[in-house]
Amino acid sequence: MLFQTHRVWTNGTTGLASLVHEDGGAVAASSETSVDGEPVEVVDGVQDDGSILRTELTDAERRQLFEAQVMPLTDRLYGAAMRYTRDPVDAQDLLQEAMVKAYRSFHQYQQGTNLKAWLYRVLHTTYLSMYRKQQRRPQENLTDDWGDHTLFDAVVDSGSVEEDVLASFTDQAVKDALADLPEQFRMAVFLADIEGFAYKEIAEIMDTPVGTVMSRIHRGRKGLQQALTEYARQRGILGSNEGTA
Amino acid sequence: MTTSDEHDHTTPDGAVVVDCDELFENLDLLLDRELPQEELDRLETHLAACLPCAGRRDFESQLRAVVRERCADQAPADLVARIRTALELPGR
Repeated sequence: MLFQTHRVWTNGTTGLASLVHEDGGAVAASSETSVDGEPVEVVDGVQDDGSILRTELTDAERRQLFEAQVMPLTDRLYGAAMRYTRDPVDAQDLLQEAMVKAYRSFHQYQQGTNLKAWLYRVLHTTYLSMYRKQQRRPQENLTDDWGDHTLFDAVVDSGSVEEDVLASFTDQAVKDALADLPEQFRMAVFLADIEGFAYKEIAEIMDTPVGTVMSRIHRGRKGLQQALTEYARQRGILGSNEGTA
Repeated sequence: MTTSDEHDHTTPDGAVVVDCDELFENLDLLLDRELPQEELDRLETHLAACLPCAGRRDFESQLRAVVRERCADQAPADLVARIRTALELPGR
């Protein structure tokens, strides 16, 4: 075996290694046990103290693995950066910075664990360190004045054809509807509905309890549906024989 | 929500069954595949018997597919080139 072994700390069940923050401090991916209190999954090579014996890559090996495993995800990660920043220039800056960080800390990624979740965690923490401190605005919230109404209800109530309504949503319409959601809701819905992460994975990516993640996804989806309903209604795709939402 | 027709969702052996409200409340969890199998089975039993709820489930499922497909992006070529340059010279 050519590889040396060394120890790396991982957190949670998706094998997300803790990341080194810009100030040198560790950003824990989540608590030491999995978010729902279940025992952390046993991975080959886990030591009694919870660390993992793993391989250390040479520069050439790291470049080769990164090329094969991460570079094919560039378009997806760029989409994520666009949804996060809502601006093409910021998205490019964010993706470049995140890719550099991922490459530098790629030795911390445990091969065979959830690479996509690990990368999105890197992107998420990079976004927070680049943009969160600039914003300094109070935590946005979603107005919850829509009750339990859904787009499906609006379609049924108006007698519209479901397929016509769904086909009316352009790329821009969906992206705009998502972009209008407050940040925390936007990220949660994006990670769930576009990237297909499980609640537990999203909790680790966002470093947030699962219950909070579920609430953000649920309410974010309602906000998204409300925006799409307005979009369809304004274009006459949905009849208006019901009260305004 | 638009309340669906109230069906008599009782089984001959009197087991507790899912009504439309319970289906509605759990639809996100169902579509997100975040429910244990026995819960899934209970909800599926309801869906098999309740046309309005099945229609709602199908629509929500299609809407998610539309949202996913409409959010695809392609990274600009010059950005990819810049990233490749940056990674070959990681700079510490």
